[in-house]
Amino acid sequence: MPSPSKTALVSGLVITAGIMFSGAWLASGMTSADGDAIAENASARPTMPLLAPIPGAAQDAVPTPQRISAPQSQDIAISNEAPSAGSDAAAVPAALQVTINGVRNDSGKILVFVFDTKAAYDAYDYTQAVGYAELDASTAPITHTFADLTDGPYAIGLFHDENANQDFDMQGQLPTEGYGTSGASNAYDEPSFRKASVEAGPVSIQVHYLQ
Amino acid sequence: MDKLFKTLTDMEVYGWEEWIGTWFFYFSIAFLVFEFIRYTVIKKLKWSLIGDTITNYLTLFMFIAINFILLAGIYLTAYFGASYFAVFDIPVNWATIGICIILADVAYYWEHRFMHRVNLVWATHSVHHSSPFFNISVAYRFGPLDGFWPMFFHVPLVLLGFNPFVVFFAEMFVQLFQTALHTEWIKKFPKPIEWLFNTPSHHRVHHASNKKYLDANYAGIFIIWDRMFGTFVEEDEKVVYGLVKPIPEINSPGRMLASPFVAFFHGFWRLGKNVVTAKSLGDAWMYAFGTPEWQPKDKRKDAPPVHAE
Repeated sequence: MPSPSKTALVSGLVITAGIMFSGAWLASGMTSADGDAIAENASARPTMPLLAPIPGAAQDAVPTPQRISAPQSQDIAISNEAPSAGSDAAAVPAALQVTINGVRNDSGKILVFVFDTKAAYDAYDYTQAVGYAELDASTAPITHTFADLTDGPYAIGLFHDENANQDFDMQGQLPTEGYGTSGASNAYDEPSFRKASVEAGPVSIQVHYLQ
Repeated sequence: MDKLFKTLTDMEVYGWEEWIGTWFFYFSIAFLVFEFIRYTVIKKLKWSLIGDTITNYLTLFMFIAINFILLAGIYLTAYFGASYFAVFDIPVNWATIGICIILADVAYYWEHRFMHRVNLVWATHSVHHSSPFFNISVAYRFGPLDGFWPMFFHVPLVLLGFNPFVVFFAEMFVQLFQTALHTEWIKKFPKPIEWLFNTPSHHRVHHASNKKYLDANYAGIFIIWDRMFGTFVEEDEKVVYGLVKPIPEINSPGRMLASPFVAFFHGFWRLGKNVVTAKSLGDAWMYAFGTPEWQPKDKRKDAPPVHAE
């Protein structure tokens, strides 16, 4: 039977260590063409959407969008959903109307971000959000209409800022505040932009809490 | 090609692991049916074989119970705790899963070699080798602590930066590949395959008690590691399966009933007996931490140590 020498054993272990490190280093560079923004969000630890604090955001104001959204279509909005506010369907195109369910208490605010590009959504870059709202938290379903968002596709991310510190609080890697994304099928789902995005119209989002 | 680098969520990886595992289990049952048809055709079907197959699945059941009750908590804590110390930031996609499978295979080589060369660990792994038969049901023959030792060899992968779910997936894949190798049906594949991959032929050698075949071919998926690290042996004589000192054959109804427990616990029974009845502390130490073939001086009968079990 084979009896490798102690030297063979030691050199085998050294070679193995080399294989392990080079393999891991190679793998760390295997991100898609979409670039490092995605890699940052898809790190080794199970991740939740990471949101940077919003310095001094005004109450209930929609910040000037950095990007100009597509011009409002003059045609009848082709959408399966009824336009909001019961207005004349022929003349007024549907706007993005978000309904938020599952908020656990009335403390703090729900901060809602609307993105219309994959890059902005993947990076959760709030400076690129085309829609932003701070809504009073309530255990009843909360509805908000982004009147100027009449096009799409839009992907929505939100969190329940219970302590009103403008920050998505985490304990290590676990969020301590509630969060939600359009198109997410469960608390752990992190849908791609394609899965998360909707056309202008009604969309409902469930808020999840892990702690 | 881009699909290779598309980010997968933890739940997606877990979902794939469950799907592959489930379908593989169905395949293994179908394969087992074929094996039994073959045994019948070549007139090798006997009660001891049937009893052995039942034993195999009962050890699987006991092994899973131990994993679930005792080990799951330790495992999850170790893996998810280690993930906080990740050295590299490794994305989760099929390309990195592929790399992790290869690294998990190297890790498995050493884990497996360790399980054969340290008595304390051989006590659980010898259960898998104790069957005198070789078919796919033998792949499911497990020992009491078979689920404990892999953790030490795979946590390093989490520390390197692979997502724990990806490491679990890779471990499962390395195990499933080997499951399919437990057969006498398939002789040898074309040489390039036999050169790179672990095959039924290489694995038969690993399960042999023939002297020249002992302590060889530890591979999971790639036999290349055994070639590189000096533990490779080619199959060229008929394999005798089982342990050097076999466990009792199932030749009576009593033996049939006792068989799952005899099989599952014999490794620890022998270890315990050796350690407790050892003549000196030094001997007891070697019986616990030495190699399976070690014998104290007075038992060596003038010849160099022969593999005991």
